[in-house]
Amino acid sequence: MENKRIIGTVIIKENWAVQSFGYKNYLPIGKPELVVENLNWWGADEILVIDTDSTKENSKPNYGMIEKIVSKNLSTPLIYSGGIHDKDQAKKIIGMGVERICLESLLYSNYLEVENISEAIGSQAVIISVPLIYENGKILYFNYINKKKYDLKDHNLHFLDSNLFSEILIIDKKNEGGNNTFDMRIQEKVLFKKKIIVFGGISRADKINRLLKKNRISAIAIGNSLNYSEISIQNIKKKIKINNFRKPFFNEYE
Amino acid sequence: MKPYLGIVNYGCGNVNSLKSILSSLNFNCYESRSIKKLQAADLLILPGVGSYSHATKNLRISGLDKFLKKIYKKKPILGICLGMQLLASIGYEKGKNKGLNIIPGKVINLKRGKFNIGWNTLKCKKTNKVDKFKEFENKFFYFNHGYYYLTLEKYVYMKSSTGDYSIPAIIKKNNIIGVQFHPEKSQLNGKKFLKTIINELIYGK
Repeated sequence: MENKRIIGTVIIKENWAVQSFGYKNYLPIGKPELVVENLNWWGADEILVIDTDSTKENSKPNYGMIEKIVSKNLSTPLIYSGGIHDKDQAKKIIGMGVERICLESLLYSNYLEVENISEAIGSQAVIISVPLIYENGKILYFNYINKKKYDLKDHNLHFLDSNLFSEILIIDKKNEGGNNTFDMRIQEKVLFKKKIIVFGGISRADKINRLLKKNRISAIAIGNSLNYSEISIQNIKKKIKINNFRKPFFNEYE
Repeated sequence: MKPYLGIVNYGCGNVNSLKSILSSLNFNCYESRSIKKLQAADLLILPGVGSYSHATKNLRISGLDKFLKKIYKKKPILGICLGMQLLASIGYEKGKNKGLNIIPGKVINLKRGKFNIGWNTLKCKKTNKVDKFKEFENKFFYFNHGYYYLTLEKYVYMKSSTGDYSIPAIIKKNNIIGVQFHPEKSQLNGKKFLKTIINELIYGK
């Protein structure tokens, strides 16, 4: 049985790690490399860095920030999301010391390039991000570029089950940043065949346990709440009651 | 004198991750795609995050494939993830591609659309005679792959289970070792593993 994961997530805005509230309001936490370094020490199963500035149209990956992060000698797998538009950028990021990348808008703007990226870095290293909103009994897809919402039924997402990528990151756009506000109906309603990672307003062990019991959920991405206390990853892991899970790990300071 | 570890930079892989972890373990290491520079290393490391087809193409274009096929008889090699898979005779990711054929075997997919992503433990084979590996039994390591190495049992030293599959996690033939997981991203266990295995390959201890 596959072991499920807790992914420590860091949201970046204007080169600062921030607490994000629905990607609308932000509070600064500190330097990205230091926040990531903590997650590494606390034994996160993976670390996801989402650069919100780089998701804007025509932006590029934040190489300077990635360089500062990887300079911390991380021994935890790193995932980067933000501004990746082509194969060369993806290869450069992997070469810098990132294990996986997360794509979103490229999927709709240039599907052929997603194929090229997957060919170059392997589909195991590609995650697709899908921001969703549950509203009036419907699942809506939120497009960050034009800020519009689309009914998931009308939005052609059949290619999300393609073999070009390994997992789908579902973001509860509406509840992101909230205290345990993740809307369970989102993961119930979407029927992707791929394994999914869920993110957005997930903080307490009760909800994490409920989510991890679902077969198709492979990982939980947790953001803001990890910054409220020391060794927060270990504290969350201690409360996880499923068997196929790596127990808390306490790193030694060298 | 400290040995030199040469990371083969064939354009696929998290070269920097490996370099920084090895440096933190106090190893002398460098990355290069120059055959002349790599020849000077005491141990070669084949890293890997990428697809088999892309990697074999890069090896072929750079001439590194011919170099590795010759050098492995004289120099120890550690292959990591895709770097391990490249040691095989043939791979089927994104088409049929010839590998380095250093440890006979083929690289095939787990099952269409299936991946092994996350932390898994290693299991010793009963016939395993390499004590150095035994201390890593039941320890967690980070895996991330959709294809695996099918080889003769005699080359398999440790296995790992994922869903319905039991896959070779460590393969070995003479002074060539391949690991399917990423020790450089497996936190404390990974660091211990790298230290132990590199010393084993270089000094036989």
